Amino acid sequence: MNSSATERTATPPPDRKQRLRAKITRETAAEYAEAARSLRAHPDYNAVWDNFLAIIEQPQSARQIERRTARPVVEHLCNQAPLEIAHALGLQPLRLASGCCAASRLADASLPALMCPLMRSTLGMRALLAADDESNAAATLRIIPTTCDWTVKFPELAGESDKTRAHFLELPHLRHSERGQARFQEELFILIEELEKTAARRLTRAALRASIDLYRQAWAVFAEFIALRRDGRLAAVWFMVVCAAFMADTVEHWLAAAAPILAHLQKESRRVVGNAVFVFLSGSPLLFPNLKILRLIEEAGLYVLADDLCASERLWPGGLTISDPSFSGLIRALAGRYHRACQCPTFADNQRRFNTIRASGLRPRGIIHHVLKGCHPFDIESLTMEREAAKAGIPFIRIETEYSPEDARTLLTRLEAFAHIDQGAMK
Amino acid sequence: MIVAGIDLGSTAIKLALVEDGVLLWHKAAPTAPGQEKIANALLAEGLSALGRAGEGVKKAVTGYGKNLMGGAEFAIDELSANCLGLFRQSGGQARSLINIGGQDVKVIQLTAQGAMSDFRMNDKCAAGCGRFFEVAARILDTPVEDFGALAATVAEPARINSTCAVFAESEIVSLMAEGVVKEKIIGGLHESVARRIAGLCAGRRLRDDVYLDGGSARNSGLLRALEDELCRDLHVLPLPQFTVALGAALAHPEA
Repeated sequence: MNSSATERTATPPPDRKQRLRAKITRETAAEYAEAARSLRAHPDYNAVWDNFLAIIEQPQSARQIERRTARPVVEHLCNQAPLEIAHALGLQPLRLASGCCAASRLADASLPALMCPLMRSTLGMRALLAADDESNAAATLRIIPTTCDWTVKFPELAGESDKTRAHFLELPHLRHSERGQARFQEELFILIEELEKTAARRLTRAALRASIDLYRQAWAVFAEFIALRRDGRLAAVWFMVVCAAFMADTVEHWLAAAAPILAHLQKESRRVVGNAVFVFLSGSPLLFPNLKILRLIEEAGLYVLADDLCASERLWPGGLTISDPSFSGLIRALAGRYHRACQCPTFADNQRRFNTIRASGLRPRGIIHHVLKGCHPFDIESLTMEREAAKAGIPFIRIETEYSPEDARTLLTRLEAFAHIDQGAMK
Repeated sequence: MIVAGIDLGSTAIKLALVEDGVLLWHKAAPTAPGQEKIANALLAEGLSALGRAGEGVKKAVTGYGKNLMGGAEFAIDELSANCLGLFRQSGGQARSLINIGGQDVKVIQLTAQGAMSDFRMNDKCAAGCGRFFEVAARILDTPVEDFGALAATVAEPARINSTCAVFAESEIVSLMAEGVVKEKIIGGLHESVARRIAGLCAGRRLRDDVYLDGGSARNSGLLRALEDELCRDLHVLPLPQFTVALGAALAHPEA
């Protein structure tokens, strides 16, 4: 036996799965680093943004967030479960949604080929980070609103290795009917029971009211960021940073981190947009670190004046109207905000979605409807959006894509052309 | 002052030299690494042919490679350039156009003033585009330029289901193995691409007059198949490959 053969026997090559995992881990870290680097190279970058970038510039497992926030993490899929309830019970709500392309590869082999990239990436990221945790049970509880099929099937797709307890928040798909609203309120009471078990304490009216008031402060700060956006002073990539930090941190820390950024932006009189064309962005969510679409929009000379993406402006549910300060009155108010006012395309009675764009007084020069391949609700709704946009004389473009950067050049061609569509011709 | 409209496309680089709104010279070269060098060589050749070598020119660039061209003071997206070039060439008649490029197909609608009012493009796959015909030409060992004449000789083209360059390749090879003559195969290719383009036009209100341009518009077989599929006549202007380059030049502020 020669010496090289002896070495091979003594030190067998690392397991291929481990090597693949290590490679994907490196690629994931590189993707986050590249997103952060490009933001720091952005013309509107200022060191104050590091307050938020520090929170999001690397992926974090639920366990890491638990250690950082000293609160047990409750994962939220979608955004129909009121954050205030988890917070009032001393839990840390964490939006479970990934925008990372590299992480998707870890889940690819076990998932359907034509699957929503967001869910694919989220499952990949969960697998990547759970393995790095001491315990595979990454989060204490996962709340799953029954929005789309991919969401409902999340635990099944995650497989047996996923030990996080799932609670399904059954979502009535008719949000304007009294029956639907009553059912959602019932669902919230069931959710509270589940969260109380997780937190090992009872939810009190005072604690819920305090959390509602704290989140009201956050919504007020969001409103200020949105006002800057409407004024053409906050590029879409930075608004994404604002939202990504909100989803990954405690509301208290986010508020503290936001204050100097807001102060800086409000001091700046310069409008960032130049001669850009103002557009409204709708459709499937865009998530950090996937800046592809927002960068292309910017490169094409377009400026996102507003959006209704669920990981962006729709994170902000607007002011809460409390007419009855009792415990059940607070729950009714939360139900109204998180269900009746929610414009997720999963709802059957979503006709008011376009009215919101029209009635907002924004007068966008165009609507960009972003559809992730396999995201059926937004794909279906794009037909209605296009029809309504045509009626209103607003140019409309549907961009179907996935997380991979390979279609960036062709998308840019479309967006550049969209910037030059003659709006007068639509009337 | 001469304005050079340079269209850096995925399969060909096209140059149009324009002065006072008049096309003076044009030429195309296959896209290859070093696009800027190729474009500058075309430009030098054109100026020399016009007897104006060394003269300063303004450059307007468009196409997928427009950001690769240094020294151009003006850039425009290819769809807007396409509208401008075609509208001018058609004497203001064009209201709808179908452009078959190397890697994409565009269906564009124009206003009565020649501005773009709407458009649709194929997705990222190059199925049914110029590149598809190049692949087929290689397998059939027949130049694309001969496709139109060959397809005209058959009444019943072969049925080809795929417009994907990869799948179509195996379909063509299978048909050849079955002894199907290449004229029928070429006719089938035209029909399959025409079906795909017609699908892209679905839901668009194609207004008279509809023009076909891009390099593939020179393929008379594809033109016939597309006219049959859309149930309407299509116009093809002289120099359909240069419409976009011409439009870029015309869009230059100093044109």
